[in-house]
Amino acid sequence: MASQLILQRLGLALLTLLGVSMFIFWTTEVLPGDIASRVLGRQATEEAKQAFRDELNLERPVYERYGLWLTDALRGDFGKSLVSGRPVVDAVLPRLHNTLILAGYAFIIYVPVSLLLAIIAALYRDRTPDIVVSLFNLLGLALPEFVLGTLLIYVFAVQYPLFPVMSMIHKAETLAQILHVTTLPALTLMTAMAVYSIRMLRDNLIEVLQSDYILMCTMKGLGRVRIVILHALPNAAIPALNTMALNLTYLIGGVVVVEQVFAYQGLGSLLVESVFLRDAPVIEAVALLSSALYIIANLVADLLAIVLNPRLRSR
Amino acid sequence: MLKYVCPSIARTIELAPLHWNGCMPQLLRTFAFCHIITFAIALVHLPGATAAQCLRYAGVETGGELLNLDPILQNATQNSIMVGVVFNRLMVLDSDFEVSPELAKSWSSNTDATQWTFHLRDDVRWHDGTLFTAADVVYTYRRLIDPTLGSEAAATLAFLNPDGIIAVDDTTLRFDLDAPVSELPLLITTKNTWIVQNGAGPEQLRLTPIGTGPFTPVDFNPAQEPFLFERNPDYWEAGLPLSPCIEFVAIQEATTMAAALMSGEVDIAQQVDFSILPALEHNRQVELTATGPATSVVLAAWVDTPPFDDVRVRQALKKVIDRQVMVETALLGYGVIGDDNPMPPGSRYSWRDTVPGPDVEGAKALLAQAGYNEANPLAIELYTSEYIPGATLLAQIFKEQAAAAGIRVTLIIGPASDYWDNVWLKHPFVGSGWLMRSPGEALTIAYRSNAQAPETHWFREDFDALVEAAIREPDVATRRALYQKAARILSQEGGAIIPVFQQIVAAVRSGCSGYEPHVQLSRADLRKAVCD
Repeated sequence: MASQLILQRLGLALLTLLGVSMFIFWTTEVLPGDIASRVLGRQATEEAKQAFRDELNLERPVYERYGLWLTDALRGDFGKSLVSGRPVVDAVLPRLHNTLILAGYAFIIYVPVSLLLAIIAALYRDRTPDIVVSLFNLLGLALPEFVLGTLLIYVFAVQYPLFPVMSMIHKAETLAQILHVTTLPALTLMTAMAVYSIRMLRDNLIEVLQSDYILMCTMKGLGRVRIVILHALPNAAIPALNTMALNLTYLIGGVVVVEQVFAYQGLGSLLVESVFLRDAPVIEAVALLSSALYIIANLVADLLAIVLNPRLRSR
Repeated sequence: MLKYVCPSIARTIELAPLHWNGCMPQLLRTFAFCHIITFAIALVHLPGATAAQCLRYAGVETGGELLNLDPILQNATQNSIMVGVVFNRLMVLDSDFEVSPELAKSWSSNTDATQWTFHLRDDVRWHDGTLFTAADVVYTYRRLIDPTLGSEAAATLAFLNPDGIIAVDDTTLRFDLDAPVSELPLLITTKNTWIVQNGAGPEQLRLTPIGTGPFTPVDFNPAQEPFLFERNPDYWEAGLPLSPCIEFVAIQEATTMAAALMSGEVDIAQQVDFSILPALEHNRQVELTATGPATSVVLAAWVDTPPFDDVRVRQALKKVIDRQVMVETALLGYGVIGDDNPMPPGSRYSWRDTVPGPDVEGAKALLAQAGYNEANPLAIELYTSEYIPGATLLAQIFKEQAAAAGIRVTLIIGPASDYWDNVWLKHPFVGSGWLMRSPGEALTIAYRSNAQAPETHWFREDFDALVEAAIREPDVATRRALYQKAARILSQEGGAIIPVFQQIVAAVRSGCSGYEPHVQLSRADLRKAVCD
């Protein structure tokens, strides 16, 4: 039954999340470096550093602290930042909000762009449009995000100042302003993601278009566009769905480089800052949040695959 | 761009937010059309006019949760700059380490420098309107040396006794000391010594502090840049500050900093990386201004550990270096030669004005005396990292130059993030670096036996006595001679190799004026900085 399958997937997702939370807690424990000297500075006295360490309760056993942390986290309380003493939620939420805006924008342009380009490439296989798309694709694959981002900055912010260099999302209020400041980073992210799925989708489409049932559709006299969109695409898209889901998670956690290039205040830059500061509660919250989003995105992709695939549905 | 080409679109831009609202009801029917219109408006919609008058200041270090406005907790330079526009100190320290009056009008000491009296201004008001008095200063310095607060300044201000900080009356302050401190005005003007209001607690100081300074924080949330500070209309220095407000951002990526300067999104960059200097040098929109020698690059060797325990080895390592080449290649000319002690040659406390050039033959001779030759070459390991920009490149140049005298240097380059915690002070030969300090502080912090950072294991009682005598010496000329003597000993025998000092290069956009970078990155005077 489909519902059984869905429940099974949900259970697995929860188990994975639990395992990940343990791993996160354990790894932040073993991070090298002394938080006391990071917070208090190279010149702080040894007594001050020791007092600071004592305050953190570091002498309690790891499993005990993990239990406390997990039960608090389930209630939405991620503790306080070791560095500032502010609630972790205050540090994470604004950044999450910013990242979701950027990720959402990038994803909204990513899906139609990759579908359209893949369909064009598949339909005009080995002809000029396909070659052009493939060429840009290879270029996109070869260029790291920071080069692409810098290139976009140079062209669209310095030479032709249409967009700002720094994506100061905090200052943007209207939707127009938000789009204005996030377009360049969103384009960068979109390109980084699209190159993979265009290639994959194009190959799948070409394979599907050669199958017997498509020949059948053609002989029935259906239009080319209708065949591709209604009949070929659903079958070709299933493997690509997982790529899209993975890309979604790349958006949440892996945008560090892009955020850095555009001085964007997102979750990725928060993670970098807090790792640098050994701010364990913040690292744990961000990592847990990213893993949760990762797992949810994969879950959604699985469920979509079930919906799109009649064989899985009927089992 | 389009704004100038097509005036009709420019009018639409001004109505941009309105336009979107008009679209909303039809969203379902004409989503695509509406989306395109809004997007097109967004394309040409440039940031509003209100931002243009604000001074936009870009630092290089994002601090995240480390950012706060409490003067005693400043571990990001970005922090110090922002704290600096909210508060005043008793005195101002210039790039030559001379102090001049700020909240204190004048000061004097008794003959043996054990009692210091400061006369304070009587016309200064806090941002909340109350009058600034000596009680605020007493509170500030007691707070700075309070061991329970984790104050960074507690060690440098250890000569202060909480009971010896006395408010004689509202405008007179006295420090009674247990031992003579002849450079007290200099020492109580260190990084953290901003004067806070009597009774101000950490909660208030971190996010919403009340200061006496030229600006007040309006929008300061560590999680959300930019940070907005507005002019204090009742500032006690007449006519200052010049700028109505300041927006602080941090840009870590060097190319992004260059692009932000070129496109006019940043007015002042606190420091520009060496990698973008060539691009900015030829840009007419941006003017570069460099400080004097600012940050030392140090190769620190333990003088009690072989092979560095042989003074001839240390001298040979110093002799092989072509310092001028280092300045020109690694620092692109934005640096000065060092003389293996914290005082740059030619400065007030240096013992000589020039450093001799490389002497490979001399180094080889010294090594031969120490028992090293081609069959038994000197092989050393240098631990380093990109802890300051250019540090690894300088280490690589050192390696090549040392090879000329047959010295085999193995570089062990690690990540910068945990360098100060896990590598520095843990190995006998490491890279290091210091911000420029006054001679008393510079010699104390790394070279006295009780130094907090004895990075060369330079435990010598005669040297300690020399520095101690200099710090206590009231006569300026005698003090200078003592510092020069200490510097000379370090140059000739010490374990620190200081080949170069970096300069700090700040960038100021054309149309902006009134800004000079300070040799200490944590200081910036933004009172007179203003843009057209």
